[in-house]
Amino acid sequence: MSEPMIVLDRVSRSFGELCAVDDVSLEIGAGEFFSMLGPSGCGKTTTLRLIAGFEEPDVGRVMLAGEDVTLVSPRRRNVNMVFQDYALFPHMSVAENVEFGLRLRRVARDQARERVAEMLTVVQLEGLGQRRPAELSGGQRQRVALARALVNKPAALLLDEPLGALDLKLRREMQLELKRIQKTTGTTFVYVTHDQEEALTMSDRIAVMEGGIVQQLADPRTLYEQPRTAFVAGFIGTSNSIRLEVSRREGELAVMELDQGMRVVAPDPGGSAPRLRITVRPEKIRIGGSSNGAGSRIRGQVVERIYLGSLSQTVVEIATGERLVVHELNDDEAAAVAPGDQVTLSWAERHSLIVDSDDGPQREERS
Amino acid sequence: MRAGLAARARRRLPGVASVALVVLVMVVLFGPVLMLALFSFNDSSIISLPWEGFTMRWYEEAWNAGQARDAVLNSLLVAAVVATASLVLGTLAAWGLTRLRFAGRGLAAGLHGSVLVVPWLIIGVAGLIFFSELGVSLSLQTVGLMQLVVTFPLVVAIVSAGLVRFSRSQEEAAIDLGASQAQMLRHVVLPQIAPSLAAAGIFAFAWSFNNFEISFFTGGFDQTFPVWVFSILRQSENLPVVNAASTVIALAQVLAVFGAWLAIKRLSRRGGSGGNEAISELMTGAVR
Repeated sequence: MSEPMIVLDRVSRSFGELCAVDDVSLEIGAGEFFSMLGPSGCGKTTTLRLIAGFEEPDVGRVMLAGEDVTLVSPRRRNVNMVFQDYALFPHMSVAENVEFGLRLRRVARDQARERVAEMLTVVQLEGLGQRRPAELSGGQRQRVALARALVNKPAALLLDEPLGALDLKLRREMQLELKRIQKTTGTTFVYVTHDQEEALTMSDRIAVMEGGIVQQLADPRTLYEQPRTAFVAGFIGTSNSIRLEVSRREGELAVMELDQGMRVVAPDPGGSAPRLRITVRPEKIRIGGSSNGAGSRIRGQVVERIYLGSLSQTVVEIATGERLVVHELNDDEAAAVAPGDQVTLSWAERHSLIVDSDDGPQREERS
Repeated sequence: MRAGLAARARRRLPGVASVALVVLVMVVLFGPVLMLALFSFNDSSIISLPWEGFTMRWYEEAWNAGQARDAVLNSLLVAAVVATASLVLGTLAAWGLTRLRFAGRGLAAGLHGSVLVVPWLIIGVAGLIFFSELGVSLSLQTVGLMQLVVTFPLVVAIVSAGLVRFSRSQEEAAIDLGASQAQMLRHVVLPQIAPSLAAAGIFAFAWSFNNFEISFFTGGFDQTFPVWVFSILRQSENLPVVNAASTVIALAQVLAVFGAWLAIKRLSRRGGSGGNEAISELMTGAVR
């Protein structure tokens, strides 16, 4: 990462008893599409508002383009926000909305007009400048909100769940659109969402937040393939959680032996934890399969099987009483199983992801 | 065929009934007023049938009665000052009540509302006692001051309703785009609550102008129009003159409110919302 555009340095913010943001440190690079992902109340919106300047941190510093802006008012910060409800000014036309920031900065009329027209082209709203927000569709309003913020050439654009009000199809379109606009303008985007799919689709990096702290900060693939905590594993994608009682350790592997040669194998995190918590992604598990190698092999009973179009989802209850979700492509090799069937599940040892251990370094204790 | 007719009649019944109900309500509400207006053209000093012929004489007398003109001018002056003052103070209070967080905010809001249901008679008497205890001599100033007590919470109620509907994120968006507090108020908030402000202003004016109880108890030598009407009603030969004057005043007010309604509707449309809010706003003011 080159010179970071935004730096949060050990920032905390409480509301009464509730600690919304708890000692968070982040660095967001210039031109990056950065997402903060988490359930409602996890502190992501408060973090965004700390960057925007609508909240002041109790402790810590907020840096913007190398300058300390912790105490700078939002109107003097070179960041702009796209609000969840768009917050368009209904008494102004689209063009007047977009021009608002330029007018306040006393940009010359001609120049302002030019930039507004240019920005309306970027968001594909040419010719709609004279409309009122009430005369636009949800997706179009979203684009006006983007244009109104981007026309000021902010150092970073802050987006607070901007797609929440749109229907699924439009949301998918706007995800690609946002990514395109971000690439076109080269602006740093800081994006808040509770939708993991949205975050995975668009982001360069994602901070998964929970309880006011950043649980894991990584690129989408790492978050999915190597979740560091049970929360991250559960929040990103479907996770199959298994408690693994370590029977013995074989070199790099921790093994839990079960009856009839069945076993669950995971990479040994080191240490001597007697119990580990692992997760396996549904698409990594095979039904049937003859993995006689070093992988996991476990018997179970099919509880449920659902046809999902390109996929079939099978829920299997295993000997330990835990239930695993399995996704198979509906190609010619898909297993034909029905509820009640006894099946063997198998997966390679590297797909057992350790998310927690009794004395492991990953555990995040909070007082 | 007969069954069809009956069914059609049944279907139309609710429509017919609702029209009939509206007519009935209109008659009850406006019948007496219209009667007075009608008799102001009757060439007799007794307000009753038979009809003695059409005349404009009562209007001439009312026009030439110096006292009547003074009273109307007094009322206009007081109402203008009261409406302006309550609009400014009420808007500030509404802003505080809807935008700031402070201990006792609910209590403050409740107090404002409760004044609206205290009878004006009691407020008038209370004002009289208050001013005489302080040794303040009664005048148009004391009338205006006491009227402010009831028009101020009215403005607070109407403007608060407008501000509550207004989304907070628009204010933040304006600040975010570089507006100062003053610029945000001027460019974003005021244009959108203009309909509420207009409605509040009109009704503060009308309440002040029409108020009798408070003006009667806290007024001095200079009379407001309602007090003048009351004072000369004691002589029955003045009745038709009062009639004529009241008809003109009532007509002027109806026209003014109607014009204001049209204006507010236009303001609301410009503000991006339908005209329905204008109607609700007018009803808020018209409850008294």
